[in-house]
Amino acid sequence: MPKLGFISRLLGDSNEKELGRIWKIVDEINDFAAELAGLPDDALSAKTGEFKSRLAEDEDLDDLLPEAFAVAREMAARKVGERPYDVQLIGSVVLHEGRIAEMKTGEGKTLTAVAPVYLNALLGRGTHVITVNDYLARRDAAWYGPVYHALGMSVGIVQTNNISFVYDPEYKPGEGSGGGYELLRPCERRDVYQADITYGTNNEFGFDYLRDNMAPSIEQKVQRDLYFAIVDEVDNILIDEARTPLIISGNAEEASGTYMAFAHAVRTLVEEEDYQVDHKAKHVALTEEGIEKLERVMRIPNLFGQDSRLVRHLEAALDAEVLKRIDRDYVVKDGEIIIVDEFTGRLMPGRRWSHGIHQAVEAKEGLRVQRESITYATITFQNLFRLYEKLAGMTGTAETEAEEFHKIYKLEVVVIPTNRPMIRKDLSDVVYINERSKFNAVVAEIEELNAAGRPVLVGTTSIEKSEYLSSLLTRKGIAHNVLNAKQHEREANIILDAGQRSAVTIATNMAGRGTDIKLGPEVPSLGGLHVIGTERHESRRIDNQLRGRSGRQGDPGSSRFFVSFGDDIMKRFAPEWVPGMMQKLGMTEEMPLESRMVTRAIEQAQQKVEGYNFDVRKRLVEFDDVINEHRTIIYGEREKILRGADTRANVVGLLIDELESLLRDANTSSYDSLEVLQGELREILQVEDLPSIDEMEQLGSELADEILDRAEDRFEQIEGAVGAENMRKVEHWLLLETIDYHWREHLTAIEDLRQSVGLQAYAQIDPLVAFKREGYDMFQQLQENIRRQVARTVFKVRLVEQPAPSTVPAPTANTSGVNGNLGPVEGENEPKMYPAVPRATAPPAAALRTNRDEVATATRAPGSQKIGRNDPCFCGSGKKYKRCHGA
Amino acid sequence: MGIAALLGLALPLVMAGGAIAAWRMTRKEAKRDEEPALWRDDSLDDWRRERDAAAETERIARSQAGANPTGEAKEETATKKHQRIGG
Repeated sequence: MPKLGFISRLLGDSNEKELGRIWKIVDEINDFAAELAGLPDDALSAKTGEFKSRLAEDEDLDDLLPEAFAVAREMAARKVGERPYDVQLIGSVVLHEGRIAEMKTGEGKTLTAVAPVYLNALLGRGTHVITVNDYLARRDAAWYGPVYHALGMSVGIVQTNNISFVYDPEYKPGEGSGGGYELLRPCERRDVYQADITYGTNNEFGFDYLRDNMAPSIEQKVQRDLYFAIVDEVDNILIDEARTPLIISGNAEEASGTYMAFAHAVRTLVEEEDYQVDHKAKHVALTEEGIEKLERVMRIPNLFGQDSRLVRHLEAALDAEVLKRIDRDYVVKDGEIIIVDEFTGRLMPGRRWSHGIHQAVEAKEGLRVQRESITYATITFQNLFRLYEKLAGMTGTAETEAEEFHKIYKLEVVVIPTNRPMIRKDLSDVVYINERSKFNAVVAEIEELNAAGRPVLVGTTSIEKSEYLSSLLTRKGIAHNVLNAKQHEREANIILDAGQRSAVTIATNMAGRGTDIKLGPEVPSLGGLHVIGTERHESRRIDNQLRGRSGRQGDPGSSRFFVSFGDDIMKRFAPEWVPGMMQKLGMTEEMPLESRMVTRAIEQAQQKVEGYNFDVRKRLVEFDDVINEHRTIIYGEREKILRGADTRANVVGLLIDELESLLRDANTSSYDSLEVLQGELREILQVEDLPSIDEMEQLGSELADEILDRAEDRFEQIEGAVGAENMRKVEHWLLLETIDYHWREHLTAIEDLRQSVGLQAYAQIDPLVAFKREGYDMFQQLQENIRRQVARTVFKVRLVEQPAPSTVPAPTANTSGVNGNLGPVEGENEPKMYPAVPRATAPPAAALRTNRDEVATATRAPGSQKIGRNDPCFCGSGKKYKRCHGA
Repeated sequence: MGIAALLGLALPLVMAGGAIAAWRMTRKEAKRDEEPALWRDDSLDDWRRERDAAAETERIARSQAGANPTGEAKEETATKKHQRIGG
């Protein structure tokens, strides 16, 4: 929420008012404490049944809240020895009310979620707890599983690659048990979503949603309606991650050698002479000289001529060469480009840049250029999370993004007070003339604190900078650990040591969010952990996350940021003449600027960038909203078919509509027109039903009725021949297949439109308005195409008798219903009838992938939940399970 | 001398002066375009050059080792990837 100084003081802080209201609810919860403490376990457990009965009568969740929270608190104290503090209960109330609780590091967010999860799970509609990775989902579910279990709630966990578990206190993995972990029994995906409480990552909930909307039968859908989700690290998921939509895709055409040619050509260009870089927009613009040089090098007369692909390749190559830097934006590992997440500093295997940029980086690095892809299903996180009836979140850093949470998700932020006062000292920024002097100063500060025995955590913005600083410290003989995406094997140990006496830890943003650094025994008396930031990030949240590693739970600590005029944030927003002028005024490498005013100026620059990035994301949502309307309609139609809507009426309706549309356009008194009509009808009707042109002329005004009668008769005749039951299967398959195929085509076309619509701005037309208008036309076309294909396929379907497979076939992840067994399997050992018509362009199911490091079509087969020895390890190390935790 | 004669003498002078002024202005502008950026942090350039050279050596090694623009085997077994960042 924007701070309006004196107005806030006059009217009172709205956050304080909220806290005042919630404190009263906490008092009510506390009133139950004594009574519940005296109850035996089974009586406490029986409260769940009582609450459900009260819900079934007249009460609602808000009526139950004080007592239910008190029950959850008491049970947590008994089962896991953690009794939520009153301030945590404030957070719990905020979560239940569908808002964001901002809680500082170490204040116990996970425990805070237990009470609202329990309360909302009483409705039996499924409560989702969303974490940032698989490990946290499993850890939190297993840790609080005993609490929920004792309260009669089932707990499930969804994991990457279709691995699923339920919490089972009796379960122990062992030989022949089917894998899993202690307390976590492997199960079907669907069972997990039927559980009262489901833990999982944002990606898995999203991909399961998309897969469900590609499923060929209702039995293969796994999710229920999305009711309530609590999102952990909500700013990371709903803001940072929201830049990247979830995509399930298949391979497109073979990658072009053009990427290589452009990669070599752009390397000859010189900055300022051949191109200019707009740091703010992160865009590279070629000069006239640059264009001429490239045309000469590539022997292309006109780069901006007929072949528009050349421009695309050129833009991608420039982006890869100039804006993407190894060991900052990506690393090369095992012959692949792996992106480094800007916000978390972690590797993101499986994620790829769009618009050919990833291929261009592969070409730049001399790697094999991989194929491009075709989108099969996609959704942004914004529109995914809007599907939840109620949404809440928690994080240490939400307030700076309160406006975005409100505008995009309608989520309010409430800042929860800490249990003990925060005493960390945040020192003013120090500004140096250049990066070298800045890093020298950082080393000097580390040296001084190290000598005093204080542990120091140094945050760097990239792998390369962490390596640079490490080399400086090595030269000085200061022992230190480095934690970055290239050196993360010892992450847990490094973090364990980071709070010990004299420890020096250099880390990228990996040591930000979620890292709990505990102080060694004598460290608090020395002043606690000192955090040094070596650059300001674009977003204040990321800086605050770094600072937040110090001063947890009332510990002493301090933090300071070192910045220079060479830093990205300064380059983007400090005018170019400022450092030059500072130099002229006598600022030297040894003379830093330090004042609160400078710190405030930098924060204002960050606010500007945050605002700019918010606009970019808002724009992304505005465009996605257009596609979202289409998606809602198409998925709605699919759902109706899966739920057994009257497919006969649907197919016959589309057939009649298509015939009527053709007949409406025909002129029965014109031979030419009738000839065209006959050609069209030939594609729909069977030969024996097709009237001759003479016959059509004779029928005149009765032609339409006659054609429609013949079509309906033929439909009934086929239905009689194959049986109504088989005909329903054919209709079901035909409708799904057609909708899926044209939806995929639509996604590709509308993505192309989105890329090109920006040019409308030159014609003084708002690209969004143009996108909406043209998008609407394309959607109309999509509906027409579906009608057209159904009409042209329905009489061509042949049923083929196939022997029953000897074993039940692996269930079909075959999400889009392509190239797999299409008919439902009803029983074993009897021949089955399958529609057999040529299918156009669908790829094999195995070729489908997600953009989040997993196989999109992993089979939902029984027993598939066991982690294979060669599967990626659950911990996210990227190693095979057998070489990591399975060793 | 009449006014017409005066104008006849002065006009070419005024025009010539104007032309010189215009020429000087464009020259100044062109010179400003040619000038490098006012200030650039070059303090870590040596270090960057070293890293870039090392990265380039690795790139060349990868290309020569046939990190194979034409290879196909890997494509078949790849089970991840696809797409896209930046909407």
